[in-house]
Amino acid sequence: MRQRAALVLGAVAAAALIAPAGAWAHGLVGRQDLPIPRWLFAWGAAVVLVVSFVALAVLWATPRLQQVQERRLLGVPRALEVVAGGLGVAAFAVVVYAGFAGTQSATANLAPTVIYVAFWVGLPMLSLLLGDVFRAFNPWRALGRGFGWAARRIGGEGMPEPMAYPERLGRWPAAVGVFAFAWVELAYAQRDDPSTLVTLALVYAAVQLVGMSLYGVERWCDRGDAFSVYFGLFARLSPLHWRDGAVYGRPPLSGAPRLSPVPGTVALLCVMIGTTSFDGFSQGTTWSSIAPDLQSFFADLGLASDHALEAAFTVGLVGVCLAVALLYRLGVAGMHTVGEHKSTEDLSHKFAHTLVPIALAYVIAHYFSLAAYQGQALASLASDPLGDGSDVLGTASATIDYQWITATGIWYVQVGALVLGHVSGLILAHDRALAIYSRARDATRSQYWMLAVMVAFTSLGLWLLSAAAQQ
Amino acid sequence: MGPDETATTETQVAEPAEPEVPTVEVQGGKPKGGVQRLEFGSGDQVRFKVESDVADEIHVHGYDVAKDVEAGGSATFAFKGTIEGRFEVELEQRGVQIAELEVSP
Repeated sequence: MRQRAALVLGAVAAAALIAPAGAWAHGLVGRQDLPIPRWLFAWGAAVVLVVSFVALAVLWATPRLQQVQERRLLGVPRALEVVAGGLGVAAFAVVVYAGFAGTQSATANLAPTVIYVAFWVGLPMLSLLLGDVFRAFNPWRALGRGFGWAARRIGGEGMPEPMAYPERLGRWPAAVGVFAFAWVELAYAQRDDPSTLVTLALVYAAVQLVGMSLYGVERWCDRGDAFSVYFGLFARLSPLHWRDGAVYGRPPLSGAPRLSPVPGTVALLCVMIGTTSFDGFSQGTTWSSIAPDLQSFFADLGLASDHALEAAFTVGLVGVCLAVALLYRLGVAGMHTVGEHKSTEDLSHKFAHTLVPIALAYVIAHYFSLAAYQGQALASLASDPLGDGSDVLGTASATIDYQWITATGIWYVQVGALVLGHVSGLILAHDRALAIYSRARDATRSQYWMLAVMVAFTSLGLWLLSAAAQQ
Repeated sequence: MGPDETATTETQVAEPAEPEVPTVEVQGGKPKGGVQRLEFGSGDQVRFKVESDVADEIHVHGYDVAKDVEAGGSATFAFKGTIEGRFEVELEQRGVQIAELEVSP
């Protein structure tokens, strides 16, 4: 019988200064994960190392994932696309309405849980399983297409052609958009305020409509719309591919090598990995020892207390994203020294897609329990979206079952996701190396560098979840 | 930015028979000495006490247990630690976290 009833003081007293923003990322979270124990950390790290070296020895010797045949599974009627788009717009309207008209308590209003849990965390996982489903439901894309259709009906042939999308812009708008969302979630003081959130959602949608009207709906969604690009990247790992009015089957991961490495792609992936890392990092002791100093530095510059805290978190967010970018760059610089001395810029682009599974693994490791628990709140929130006591669907009194998976079960999901992400990244990198190096020996040697990068990312991921970082 | 280092618990050393009940002190609507962590093992009896100089409702998230406390009064919590994880203990009306409950396997 363990009767451990201890109070942790000292260090916690210091941490408490930033506790509202640090320890509890937002008011939405009723339960936080326990840090993974040391034994599991050790096992996870050991498996990663063994798998990596075994992979070097046994992986195939000719590229397999660069050109794959997709198998047509079934056709998708065009009407279904229209229906899905309509549903997306309707859901968006309900969330915006709830955000403005409903209670401003974060947990009792539908908007924050839909935005932070169903949308931001649920859709990446869904995209892995089912492919790019967001594309069909994307409300601003549906609106953009609707407006385009109406304009053509009214204006006839006189409609101007969209401008050519600037090549140099690439995926930069998406990188900026994902960073902005992460900033709102992790640094912004009003992150839980329903009306603020939906105001930002409306602003975002308006910007997308402008982008689509300038450059064309599909072009903008492929490059500029942060969420289309974000979910679309994860969907590349999926065995399902929706295109040309049909669903196609393909080997998992095989969509990733087709990623065109336009400008901003590497930045986007570093933002994705960096912001998730910072979410974990900001809950740990290292950050809680730095943050008060940063906060008081900004307070001394004349910022009010909460803005100083926002500034401190912004610095942290940018810092971790840059650290992730630097790590990837180091690996690429290492590869540059091998064999034919390919340019680092070129290598950086050619291996960008290998970061996609790592980014998804980070998302799952950090947010699985949020989806697993807070996701259940959608049942009651959907029935009472405004938090005014109504019960539209009869499920308003549904509660969250915190016991369907144990803390140990969550640990296995977290470590499992990181190990699988690691292996997937290695496979993609290995396959790409075989495709671009003319000598197999150079391909293998170049991969020592990528291996080091992947091991670093996975160890970082494990460390962020561990007691060493979380305390 | 000097956190109060001297924060301690109000332990009654005089009565060894009584199992030590961790106490969270609330002063001016804030936890004295910062947010403390209350640690228990899974399946154990979770017991702690909140002494508050302000009236509010104390809410243990996850377990969804809530008790009212009067200004200058105290509230004692006792329930079985069946859900593993870390949970926020909050002054509901003020929206201030006063402690963190940890139930580990």
